[in-house]
Amino acid sequence: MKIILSILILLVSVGFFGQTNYNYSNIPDDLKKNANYIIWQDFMEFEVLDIGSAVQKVKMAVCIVDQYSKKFNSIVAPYRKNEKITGFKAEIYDRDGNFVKKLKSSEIHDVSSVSSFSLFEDDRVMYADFIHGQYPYTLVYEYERKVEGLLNYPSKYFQRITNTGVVLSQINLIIPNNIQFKYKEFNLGQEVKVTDLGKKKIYSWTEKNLKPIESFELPPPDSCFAPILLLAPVQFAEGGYEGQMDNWENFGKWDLKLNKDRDLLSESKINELQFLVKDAKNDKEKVQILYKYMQNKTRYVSVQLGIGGYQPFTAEYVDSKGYGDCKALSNYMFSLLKAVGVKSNYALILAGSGEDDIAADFPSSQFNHAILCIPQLKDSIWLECTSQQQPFNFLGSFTDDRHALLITENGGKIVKTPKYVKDINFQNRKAKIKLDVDGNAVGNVNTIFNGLQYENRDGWANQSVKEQKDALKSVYTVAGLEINSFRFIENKAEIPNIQEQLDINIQGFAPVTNKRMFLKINVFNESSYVPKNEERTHPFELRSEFIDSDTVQIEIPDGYSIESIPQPVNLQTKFGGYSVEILHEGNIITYIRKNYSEKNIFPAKDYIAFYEYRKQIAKADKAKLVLVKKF
Amino acid sequence: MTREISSLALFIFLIFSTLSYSQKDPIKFGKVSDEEMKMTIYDKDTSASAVVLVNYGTINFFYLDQSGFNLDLTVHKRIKILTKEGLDQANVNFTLYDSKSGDDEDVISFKAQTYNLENGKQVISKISKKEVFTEQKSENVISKNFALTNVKVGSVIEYEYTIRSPYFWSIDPWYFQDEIPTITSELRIKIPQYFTFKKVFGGYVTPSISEDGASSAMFPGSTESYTIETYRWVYQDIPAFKVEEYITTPNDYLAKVEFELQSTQVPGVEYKNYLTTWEKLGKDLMESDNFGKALDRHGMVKELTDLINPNDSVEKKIEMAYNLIRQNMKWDDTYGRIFIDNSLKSVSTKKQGSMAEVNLLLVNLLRSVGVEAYPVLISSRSHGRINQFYPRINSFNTVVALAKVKGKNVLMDATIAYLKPGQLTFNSLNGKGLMVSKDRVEWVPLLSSEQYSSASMVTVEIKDAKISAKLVRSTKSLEALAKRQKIASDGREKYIENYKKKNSSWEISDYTIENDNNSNESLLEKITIDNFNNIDVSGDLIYLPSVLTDEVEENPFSSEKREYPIDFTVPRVEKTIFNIAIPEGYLVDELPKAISVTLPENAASFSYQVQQVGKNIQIVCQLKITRTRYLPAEYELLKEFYKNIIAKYGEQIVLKKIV
Repeated sequence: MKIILSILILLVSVGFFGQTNYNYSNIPDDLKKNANYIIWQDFMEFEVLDIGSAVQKVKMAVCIVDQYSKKFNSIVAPYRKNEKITGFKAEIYDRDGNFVKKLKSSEIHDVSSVSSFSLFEDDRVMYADFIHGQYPYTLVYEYERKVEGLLNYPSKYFQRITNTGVVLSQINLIIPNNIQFKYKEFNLGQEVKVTDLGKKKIYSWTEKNLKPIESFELPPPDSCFAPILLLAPVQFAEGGYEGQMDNWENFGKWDLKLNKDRDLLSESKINELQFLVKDAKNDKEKVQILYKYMQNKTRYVSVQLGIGGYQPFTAEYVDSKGYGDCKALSNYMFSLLKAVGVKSNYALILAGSGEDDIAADFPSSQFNHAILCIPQLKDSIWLECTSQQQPFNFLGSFTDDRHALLITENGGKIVKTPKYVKDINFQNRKAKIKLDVDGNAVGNVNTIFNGLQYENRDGWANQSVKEQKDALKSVYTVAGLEINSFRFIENKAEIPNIQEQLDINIQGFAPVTNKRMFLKINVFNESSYVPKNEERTHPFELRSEFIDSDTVQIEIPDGYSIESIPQPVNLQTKFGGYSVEILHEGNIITYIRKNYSEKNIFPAKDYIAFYEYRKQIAKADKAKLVLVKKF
Repeated sequence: MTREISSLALFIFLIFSTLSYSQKDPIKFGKVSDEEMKMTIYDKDTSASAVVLVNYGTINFFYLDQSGFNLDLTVHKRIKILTKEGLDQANVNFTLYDSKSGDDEDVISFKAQTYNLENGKQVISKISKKEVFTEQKSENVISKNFALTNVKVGSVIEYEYTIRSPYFWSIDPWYFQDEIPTITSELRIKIPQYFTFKKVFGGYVTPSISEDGASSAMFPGSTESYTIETYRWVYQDIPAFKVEEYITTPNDYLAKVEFELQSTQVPGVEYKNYLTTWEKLGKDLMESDNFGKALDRHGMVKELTDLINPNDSVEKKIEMAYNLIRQNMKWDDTYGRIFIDNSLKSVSTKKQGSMAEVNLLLVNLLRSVGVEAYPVLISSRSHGRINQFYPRINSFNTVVALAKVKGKNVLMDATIAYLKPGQLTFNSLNGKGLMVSKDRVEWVPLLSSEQYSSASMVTVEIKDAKISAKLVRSTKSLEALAKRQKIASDGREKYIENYKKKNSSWEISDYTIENDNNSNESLLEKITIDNFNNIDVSGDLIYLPSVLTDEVEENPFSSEKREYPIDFTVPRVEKTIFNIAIPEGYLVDELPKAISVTLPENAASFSYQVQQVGKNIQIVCQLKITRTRYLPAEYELLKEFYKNIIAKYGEQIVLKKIV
């Protein structure tokens, strides 16, 4: 599955030449600590000329601390086909703030900018590789971009990236009085300043002296801790289409305009489709038949040209070519359903496994993907249209549990996509192993991966035998493991699952000494992850919920008895639960492990408890059992 | 050099008539057989997502009045789509050179279509040249991208395009192997007698047909004839290429043929020989303004020369010169080319350059202070192996420096912090390099002066139900380089943090690092572990792992079969000594058995020795890899070798309470 909708990437912000002396020693110590970069000045001016065009000025002065800090080795100015970059300039100053060199225009490159998942996009980028061998040094650059099409205003991440200190970061929005806009602030230190220039106003946001933030584990959404400003138009024009963004309803109406009449199919096609579904008992069956039809007929090919970044290719186009991007394929599916009288809604979404959700209270263009929703009395049907393999009505972690904008006849409507709860996302493993006196083992391991955990094995069933074996060995890292035979049984239901059956032997499974055998008992599902032991200042987020249960039955050889056996463990916390129990009867040992996790954002104060919890799991998962020879 | 040859083309006023082969083309556009349409599985690789039915290339020379010699490359490919994964094959791109001066490569013909069976009938979906997108990849490279239409599982897709290039002396390599299996790959090339190309084959598959012959053609309006050499190579049933661990670069393993212009002999024009020998190649380089001539030009780095005392010993001068270049010149992260793009003077004022430029500057500085120094041309691992039998300038992609000290070679690379004279980076250690001087060339083995090596001493104590240890690890050479770079880029704090994280159950109270900035000494790490929380030492029986530290637990060679040789690059030695004090009131109940495993001819060895000395248990554990390259046939051996090591790590020491 691939992401689309070429979003205007305006995260690149700014700085300013000015009279500042870029002497490294002038930077306050607390901005230098843990810093790879220190931004002297990051300045962006966005002057709205009318509802469809603007001038964006970018000015940046950044100190690069050492040779390992490479994010500013290239200066990058993205733009669109009908836009223009002017005044691309850059200079370098040494540690003491003395001028070193100036970028030559011959060093500026101007090339296509095509995302890796696209066949073609007409976006462009100007860039220059410009560095200096002596650190620290300061890079100063600026450029101006004429912006055409204002579906998006720039967002401002005042502290752009981790390990960056900021002396001053600023964004100025200059906007005529007759054009409305809106904004949303997260974690800002200072209020907006407004300057009246008569027919227009300047809105200015400034953040100063931001200490570097180190990257940390289990980060919650950026909006929980980083200084961010979202800007968006209220009235706008993009690619010749005017719209309103005052609420989701109106934003949806704009999209409706873009999709207008792009759902037309020929008479004969409509007849063909109606014939296909003639035996279907209800709408759901019709959808199933046509989804399969669409999956077999099309493939994902992304081509983004101009307004085509937001507007789907027509249904006719997809039908004749047999391909399209997420917009074109979702619109195509919409048309197929329409042809047989089933109503559906094209839906915009911010896709990505583990992606933050959109700001649902800030109607604006925050999406990168399109899917399709078929409303039902109870539980709507959701279709991912870019994959030929996706189970029917299963969104998976790519688009589950988040906001989506339905494009209805009456405009946009915000809804949430289905959430897969932990009882659905289970992994159930049963293993039977027989150990011989040399410590070698033979046995079988059967595992069912269900719901979101289906994704753990998604696509494996279609790989070559060698790839499958290598993949299995990369997840089951038991030394000496040989997989004699295996089988995957895939069930592409609405909640899909896959069953994995392995016949194995493990050479040297339990190392043998004169008297003893040492047996690591949990070899198929070890959780060794322990977060960093630190004082936490930010909340932390667990982004998935699931249940794992493992039962391993081991038959030990005659002549051995148990000398040492791990103690049972039972941990129940707000983060999840973990338990281990080991039973033994005769020469059969049964290991039972249960581990579940909750999806949530937890306050910083809970972090130590979480650390302790994971530490105990890691220890318990390492436990060994010792067998000793009977005399 | 390129320009010289192109001007030569203008001396030639010949028109070559087209020739036909006696062999039939292996494929005809549009003629897809029933068998190809109905195929559902490729029986030689039943899991293939798609299979190349035919990949057919032809290369022809011809002459045009306005532009001289040209080269036409025609690629004709037919692919069967077998599964949904195989649909990606229908998105195609190829690149062209865009000179910006008019001498461009052009697509002069293009056809592409998809075949589907519908109700037993073949249905064709065509795309036109208009549906090919042009992407500007960089200043001089454009990519042509197209997508075939109506491609489904079961479709056959086919495309054919011809690229006309004015750069007739530069023929792109032809790859017989692909990421999917190929049934037939064939290349035919016709070369007029006036040009001689060297043909260099690579890969682990052999051709089923390899033919050469000659045909003749007449000059138009003349009875005089000339010869055309014809070559034809056919490869059959070529397996899909899959990347494996421990290889240099896929390019070294793919089945392919490359072409290098060797000579031109045109009537009325002097015979020209291009790079026929390594000696000649070296000589040409030394005479080039962009290489050899720059080396002896004085005053490039005057201010640095002045810092070196002319009366110092050679060793001292080398060290000084090396450090001065390293500290003053910034490597721009590119290998560049072996030539210098900018004059050495401008490199030294800009304080920045490619790897070749920085190291040539080092040679220049060494020479200007009277040290015997030479450039050594190398091919980095990512660039691929050198075939010593085929002298080609393109074999190399960068340069290191070499100084002679009392007859011994000292290799140097001034682009990387924490190296020292005598050491090269992992990526540079790729077989041999070519040392060039005015009068001769010499192959020098690219070895680091030291092995990948680490030695650890671990002192373990058990007291009050806690098990603590002091670990001292000394690391040298490339292993130390890797650590030093990590420490420098992450900072010490982060580096230590990462170690703690990897061993999250240990209570580490102290971690000191010494010599991280002094590459002349071993890197020392001293770690105090107050308690290994994951080991219980309170009961009547104490079980201790046979190896207490963070060693390998997984066999790096888990795959069942190996297709390509294994390349460790550098010999390595890892040695660990444990001293475990037996706690008061306990006796040794059982110790792991000592073992020693050796591969034939001592290629690699592992030994684990254990003994009780009074109140101490002493363990000496050593892993040594001496030979660095292994053939696929030796894979089982290596796998078995690692299995032994891991089994040993799983054993335990058992201590028993005295009753």
